[in-house]
Order: sequence, then structure tokens, then C-alpha cells
Amino acid sequence: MANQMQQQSKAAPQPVDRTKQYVAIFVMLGVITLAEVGAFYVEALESMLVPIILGLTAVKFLLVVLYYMHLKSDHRVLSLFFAVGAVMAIAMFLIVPWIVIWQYT
Amino acid sequence: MSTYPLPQQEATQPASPTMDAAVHPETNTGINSKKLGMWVFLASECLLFGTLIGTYIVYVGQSVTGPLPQDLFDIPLTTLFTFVLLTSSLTVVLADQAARQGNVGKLRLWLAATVLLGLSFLGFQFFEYKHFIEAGLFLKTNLFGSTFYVLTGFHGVHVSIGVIWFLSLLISSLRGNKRAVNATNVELAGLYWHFVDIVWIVVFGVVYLMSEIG
Repeated sequence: MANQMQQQSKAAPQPVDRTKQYVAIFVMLGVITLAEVGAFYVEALESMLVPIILGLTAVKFLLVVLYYMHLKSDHRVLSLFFAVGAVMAIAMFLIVPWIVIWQYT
Repeated sequence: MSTYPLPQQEATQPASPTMDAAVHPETNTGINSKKLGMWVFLASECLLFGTLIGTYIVYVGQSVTGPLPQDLFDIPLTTLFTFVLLTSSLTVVLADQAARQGNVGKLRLWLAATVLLGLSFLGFQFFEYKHFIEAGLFLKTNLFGSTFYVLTGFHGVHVSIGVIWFLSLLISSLRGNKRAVNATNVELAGLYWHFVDIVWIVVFGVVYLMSEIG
């Protein structure tokens, strides 16, 4: 019985309707964006603005990559490729300013 | 509602590894080669934009003459157009889903919406550049001008390529070209578009919202 069902599912894979999930992610992205802009205008948060913005940006980045780009459910090799690129880009963020500061101090 | 059957190998290109193993064409990696190629390309794009954003960060606050970011940025307007780009990511993922389901009516609707939203974003960028140039900010004016125009200019070029890509998919779909408009091709265009979107997510946070810090 189980084998029969497995064969049927292989013969005609039915795409799952994820519209609700996609809309929910969109709403979350919108709310986070509004939170970022809110933090920008609140003077009391000025000293913490950088970690707040970077944190919220990272959450938005991950939501898009995991759910809209399907990395959460896709082959892990694809995640690995993208992670290598992203880690090297973050290393660039850190190394380039360090080189410039080191050069001029 | 009009539907047409998409080519089998391409149409059923799924997100799930289990389904993937069942239907994709034979490859050594077990992954669709076009998709693997797109992810390698996107990884290399991370380095391009990582370098451009890193350079912007290094030079922010180093300009000796104005105009400066805090004199020019219009955060409410930029927020509005960030929403435009985020909405386009939703329409792209819905187009991708419609292509997987073989629902050509919805596919055309979401492709057209994506093209319109992409064009709106480019219109905003044109308006912003016009405003900045009128305020005296050119590529050579100061370090802010150089790094800002290069970073957002490269992003704008990527958005333009994405708009052309989706427009070509839409036109091919309207002409009934089933070979060109299949689930894999829509997914590849979608991956590219989402990458452009996440670059803007970082640019909006680091360049616009942190402008007061520099």
C-alpha cells in the first residue's frame, strides 16, 4: 500500500500551494522594515541603531533566502555554495575597513 | 482559466530534494545544472556587492565637501520604494508557483505585476538621481557621491536586467512559447530577482538608515 502510494506520488508530483506562507513572509518583511524605520526616528535608540539595523536586516535577508529562494527545502549543496559567497562577502566587509584603518594609522 | 501542460522535466522542477530526485534530468550532482549554475553565479555576485558595500562603509563620513547623505536622503520615500521591491519579490514567488502548477493565467498576471513593480523602482531611482544631481552631487563631487552612485548604479543595472528578463518571459508566454516559459526558467529568473531584492535590503539598512551615523 505504502509502495503504491509512493509510486503514485512519483508519477504525478503535485506542487504544494504555498500562497499563505508567501504572503505571511511578505507581511513579516513589511513589519520588520517598519521597525527599522521606526528605530531610525527614535532618538533614544541612536546609540543602538547599528546593531538594531544589522540584526533586522539579517532577519529579512534570511527570510527571503530561506523561503522565497527555497533554500530551506532545497538541496543542501545549493545552500553551501551561497553560504561560501555570503561568508566571503561578510569577510570583505570586515577586512576592507581594517586594511584602510591599518594603512592610515 | 487557461492552462497548458509545461514540458515534464522542466515543469515539475521542485523545491523538495525528494521530488527533485524523482524527476530532474540525470546530472552528476543530482541537481539541475541550470539551477546550480545560477547559485554559483549568485555566490559570485555576493562578492561584487560585498566589495561595493564594504567600500561605501569605508568612505562614509570621509567626504570633505558636501552634499552629504543626511542632506539628501528622503527616508519615507525610500521606504515606500523598498516596499515596492519587497512586493515584487512576492509577485515573483507567486509567478514561480503558478509556473509549477501550470497555471498560465496567474503566471502572466504575476509576471506583468513584477515588470510594473520593477519599472516603478527604476523610476524612483531616476527621480532620486535627478534630485541628487540638482543638489550638486555628481560622481566626482566627493567620496559619498562616488561610492553611492557606483553601488546603487550597479544595483539599478541588475534591476533593469531583471525587468528585461521578466518582460521577455511575459512576452514569450503571451506568444504561447511553452519551451521558453517553463517552471525552471521562471525559477531561475526568480532566484536572480530575489538576490537583487536582498541586496537592496542590505543597501536600505546600511546606506540609508545608517546615514546619520557616518
